[in-house]
Amino acid sequence: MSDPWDDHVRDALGRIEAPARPPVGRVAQKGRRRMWARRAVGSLGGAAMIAAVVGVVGVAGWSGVQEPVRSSAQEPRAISAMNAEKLIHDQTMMINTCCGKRRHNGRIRTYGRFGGGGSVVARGVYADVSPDGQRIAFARVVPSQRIFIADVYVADADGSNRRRLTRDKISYAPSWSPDGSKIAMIKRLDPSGREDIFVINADGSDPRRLTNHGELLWDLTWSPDGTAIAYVVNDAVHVVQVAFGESVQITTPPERVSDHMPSWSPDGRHIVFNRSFGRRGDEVWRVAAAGGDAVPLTHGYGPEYSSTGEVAFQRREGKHGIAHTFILDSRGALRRLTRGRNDDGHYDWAPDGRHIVMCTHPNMSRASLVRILSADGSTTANVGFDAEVCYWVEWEGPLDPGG
Amino acid sequence: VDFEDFYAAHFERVFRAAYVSCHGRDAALDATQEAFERAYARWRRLRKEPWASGWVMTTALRLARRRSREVAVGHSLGVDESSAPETDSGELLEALRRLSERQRQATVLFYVGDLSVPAIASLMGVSEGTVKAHLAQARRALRKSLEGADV
Repeated sequence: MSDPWDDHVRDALGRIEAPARPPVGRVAQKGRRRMWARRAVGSLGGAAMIAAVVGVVGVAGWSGVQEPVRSSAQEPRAISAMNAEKLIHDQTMMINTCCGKRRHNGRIRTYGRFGGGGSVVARGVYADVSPDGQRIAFARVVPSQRIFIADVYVADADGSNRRRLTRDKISYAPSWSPDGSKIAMIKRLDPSGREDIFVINADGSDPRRLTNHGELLWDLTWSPDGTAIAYVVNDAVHVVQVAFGESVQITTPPERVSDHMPSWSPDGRHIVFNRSFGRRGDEVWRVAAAGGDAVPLTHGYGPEYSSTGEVAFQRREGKHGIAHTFILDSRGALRRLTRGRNDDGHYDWAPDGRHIVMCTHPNMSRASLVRILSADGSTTANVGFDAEVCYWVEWEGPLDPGG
Repeated sequence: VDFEDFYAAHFERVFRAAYVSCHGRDAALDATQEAFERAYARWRRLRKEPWASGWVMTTALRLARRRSREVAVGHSLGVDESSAPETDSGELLEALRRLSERQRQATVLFYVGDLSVPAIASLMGVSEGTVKAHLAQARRALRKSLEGADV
């Protein structure tokens, strides 16, 4: 997202005068030479490449907990689209696509009983599905403006009954409370880009300011009982009590380290989060929701608790840094969910904690596929989706043991 | 997408990105041109990528950085590598060049490339959290530098 200070930077950089473009023919000619050189190296260098690969096998892994990774013995069994639809059942799955440009509104598609059957139900960013699966909230940005302008909207999951919830042009990142009665959001409060969290009733009444940081905020996440919200400011995870607006910093990252992406355990007692060490990569850590000593769990990023207490996360692997998804179960055993050349993107647990929906990029391309995987790695299904870039997925709705 | 159109549409941005990473317009132009040559060599695959411009920009940043180092070594050996003077360096460019390489890369892709955080994460091969951290740290450092310089 952009603020006026960002625009100042962008304008200053935009004033750098570029020289005349060298003729494209010259670039193409040198490019062709490079292409031929690459092909020649490719055909001659196979044996050398194999030797090199063999040479690097055995690179030391993460120095923390020993991790026997249990893999599924065989490739997951594919299930049909009809069964995928059955899995979503009376819940709602939402896909928010995005684009290269930050100021464009993506397409929001919904599936399931309350959804729009996969059609585009709204255009916006930061879409969030209500916990009962019946409504969506999202922000709409005004793309052509030099300064940041966004407002929060709500609609039924099929896109009907759309309503603009804020009219201050500074609100985004809406997040439904667990009971669906409130929506938390970030507001950008002044031209220098100060932000804070506000809570508003789902009908638009009673807006209330919760924090007083005046800094860039990220990653609002409600506690399961709806009494608190975890969020990130100044590279540390904080928790604010919704009733009193009292905010506590619960992680203390060392210098040059930053904490992000908090996720609450189902009992609300713990929070897992992503600790980034810059070049040294990312680790998944856990801390008590009341604060205390944080402990490392494993290396990886983007952790997310399931309703059954398992933690999914992702790791980039191999020389191409392809993202794969793993699950850490409640006993601390690790199992791999994906492998191969599909580059995994954003994911979300199903309400039952037995399935995961995921944006994935086949063969490392930017094209997107939305997959449903069972958490034990036994089955997989693709959800109908075209070539847009899948940016965000969510799966919400009532738990139905019979479903 | 036709390569010629792609080249015409993105040349200036890629040059700006490279220029932020190295001292001197000649070095930035060299890096820009080589990045596009490399893109041409992979164009059949790259043309389908929505973030092809991000790929070229990342490559140009890396090449510019390498050229900067070569120039620095040249200077230390007494080799005269003088190039045209910078036309519009300014406090901001100086502050950007003082950032760590990864912070600068994320910042340039964000501000010059106008790419989203997920796109930058994908291009840099890091998590979104890392990109956000780089951006937040870079913003703080830039603000501090600029406010300190009364700009």
